[in-house]
Amino acid sequence: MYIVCVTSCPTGIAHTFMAAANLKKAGNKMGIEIKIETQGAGGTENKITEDDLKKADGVIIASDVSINDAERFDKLPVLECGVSEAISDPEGIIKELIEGIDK
Amino acid sequence: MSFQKYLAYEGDKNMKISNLINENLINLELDTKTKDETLVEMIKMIKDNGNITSVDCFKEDVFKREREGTTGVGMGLAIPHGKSEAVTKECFAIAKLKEPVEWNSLDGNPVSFVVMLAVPAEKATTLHLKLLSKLSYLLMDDDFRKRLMASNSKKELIDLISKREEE
Repeated sequence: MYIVCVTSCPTGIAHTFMAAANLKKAGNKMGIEIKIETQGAGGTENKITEDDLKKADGVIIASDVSINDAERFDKLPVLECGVSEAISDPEGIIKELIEGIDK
Repeated sequence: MSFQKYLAYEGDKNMKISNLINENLINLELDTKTKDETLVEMIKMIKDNGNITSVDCFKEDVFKREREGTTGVGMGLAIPHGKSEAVTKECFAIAKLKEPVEWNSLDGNPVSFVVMLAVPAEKATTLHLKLLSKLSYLLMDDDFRKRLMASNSKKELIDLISKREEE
């Protein structure tokens, strides 16, 4: 299982990175490989590559704003949520995505 | 959880998160009763340190951000922030509250530790933005956050941050 995520928020300094940290932490705990692209005030970091997309089983978009290049995920199962949800319940969100993929 | 691996740095490698705070930007026993009062007191600390031109202007932007969604992220921590024309120099301030205050947090718990970020509206150097982003990221590290929240001296707080960012 390989999950790619994008986090973003209006200011792009705080919530974007707290969500990234907690998704990463939850992924590690659940034994799921996870890569998180942050679209913050300082630009895009840890960008999801073509290779990542080929490998990915699903996508989490945790954002309160519209993200850049959302169309690259068109062919993958995508779970969208608010950035706060990814901070407070990252495991729940990952589980929800996995359940969606399994169906 | 190594942030260096996660965020690629550019520019001045000597610039550190701990350069964006000093003892004047820390209050270890802030005695406030409400979230709004806490925000205002911290904004005044930032003004007294010379990082913003106007309390009212920065306050407007911080309160605007609060209205967009809570900055109480749970675990007793709040991370209010304002991107504002009033900010002339990026910084962050820390307050430990004498009594926890209600913050409408994600986990419903009151807040006892507040980290406020001051972000310029324009001309912010990417490096400084990344440093503040890195701080947000590190605050989600349970062990680091607990040690910060338990700290009883300003010097210890700054030392904890500077040690953690080098790991």
